[in-house]
Amino acid sequence: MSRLLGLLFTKRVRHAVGIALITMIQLSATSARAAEDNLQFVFHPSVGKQALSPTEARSIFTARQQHWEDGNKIHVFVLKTESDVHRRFCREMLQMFPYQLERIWNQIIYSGQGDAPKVVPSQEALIDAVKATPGAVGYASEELLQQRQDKVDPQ
Amino acid sequence: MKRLFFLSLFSLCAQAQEVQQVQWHGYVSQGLTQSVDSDYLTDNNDITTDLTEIGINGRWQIQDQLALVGQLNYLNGGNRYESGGRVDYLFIDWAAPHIANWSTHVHLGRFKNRHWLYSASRDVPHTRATAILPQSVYFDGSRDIALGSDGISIQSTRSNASGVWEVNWSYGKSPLDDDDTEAFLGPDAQGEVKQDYVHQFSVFYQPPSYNWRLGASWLSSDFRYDAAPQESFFNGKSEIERIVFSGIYFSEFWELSAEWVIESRRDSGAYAPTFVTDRTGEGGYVQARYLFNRDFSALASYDTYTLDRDDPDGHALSAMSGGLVPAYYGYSRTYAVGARWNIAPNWRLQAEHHWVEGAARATSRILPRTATNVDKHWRMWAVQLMYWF
Repeated sequence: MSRLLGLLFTKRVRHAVGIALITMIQLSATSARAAEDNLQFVFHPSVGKQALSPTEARSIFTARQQHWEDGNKIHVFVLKTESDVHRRFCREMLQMFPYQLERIWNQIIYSGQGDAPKVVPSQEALIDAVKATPGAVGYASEELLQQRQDKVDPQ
Repeated sequence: MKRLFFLSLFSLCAQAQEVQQVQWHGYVSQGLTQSVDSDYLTDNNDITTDLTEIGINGRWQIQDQLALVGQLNYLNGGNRYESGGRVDYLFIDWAAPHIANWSTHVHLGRFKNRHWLYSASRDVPHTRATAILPQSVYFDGSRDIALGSDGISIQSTRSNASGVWEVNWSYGKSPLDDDDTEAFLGPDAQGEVKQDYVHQFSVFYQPPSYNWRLGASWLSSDFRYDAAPQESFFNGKSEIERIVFSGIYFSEFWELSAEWVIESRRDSGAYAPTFVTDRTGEGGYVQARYLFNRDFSALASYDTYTLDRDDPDGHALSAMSGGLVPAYYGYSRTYAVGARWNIAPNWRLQAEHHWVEGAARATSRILPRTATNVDKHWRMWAVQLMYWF
């Protein structure tokens, strides 16, 4: 009996430990994914900024603000409208629906109100384009930016 | 104006490969359309391809604060307006220095009307909800006057944690042609209608959630008719004042928009030296779009307009003409449904059907006449395939 209880206990313990392990692995995976997926603004060095407030971000990415405070032109780089990263950028960093932003751009582009954002095919291309264009701003995953930084500065 | 536009466009294209400071975009769309029991879109209930919209635009960033922008388009909207090419806009865009957190742009030249929800890009198929916009506010009978003007426009925007304020002011005049003269007085008019000026002001507010956009606009415009030496009409004048209230709401799956217009008009002369008529028209629309997913959406709308709000059923209008003009020329009520499918990136297929009662928006003349063949109950539909770049 005690052997049987011991066996059952062991099985229960194993089961519990198993669940705990799976949960930990899942949590760890989710947390890793969240860290990997975090988006961040990327700037050309001439801009002299590390971040944007939510208000600034919306003003710039909806073309309501087309110049930096020093008068220089803002060049906006984005991924394709249908890309998942762009859609996450709209929701998480601009707190707008992607179709709302698309509507605003279309009205701006076809009535002469401002520059269309430059669309690039990948996050790597976006970082390259931003780094090569004075006054540019865009977005990319934190992890990718970190990797790029590590390549430049291995220390 | 057109020569200047082509020169500018050539200049833009020539430099396009050299610098990133030049951008150009465009759109092409073709549709099938029909109006039934009305000649509003097509004659004799014919199904036609008279629904074509093509445009190309360019933006040349001369300096950080200065750009030259223009758009040339070709439009065919059936019987709604004369088909052909036109300079949609061509202006200098100057970004003024920021003052007290206000970002200001000054446009000098032929600019677009930005004072209503869809006015700035009403001829660009993929920017609007339906091919035939709600006629209470976006009346095609006077579209050339409402599209934009030659003059000056100033837009100021201020964004902060409490939301976005946008203030627009413009002053200018629209070039009118023989069709506009006919729209005012009919085909017998030999003289010329001219717009003295159009003065507009609007304010929009968007809360921090960005879910709403609310606005109000005011328009004042004077027209005059210079009669030809030998004709039955006399010199005349029209004074128009228009107030529009606008609102749009965005949610994940729903988009709701509504506008209400109050339009006062005083016409004098033209028919007789002592002829004077005063009336205030009123109307508006409510439009709802449901987004099933990123590629499919459906729309339903109701649009209403009364030529004279003191005569909502048109009985006085009919009595004034001795019964010649039916009462239903005094009002217009439209129900519409539509569907949209984004076939591929930058490609869209859009369909719509409108059921209309009344003919108030079927003619833009000072005195409505039965020259436009419209039954009391009529309908129209359109299917449009569009591509943009």
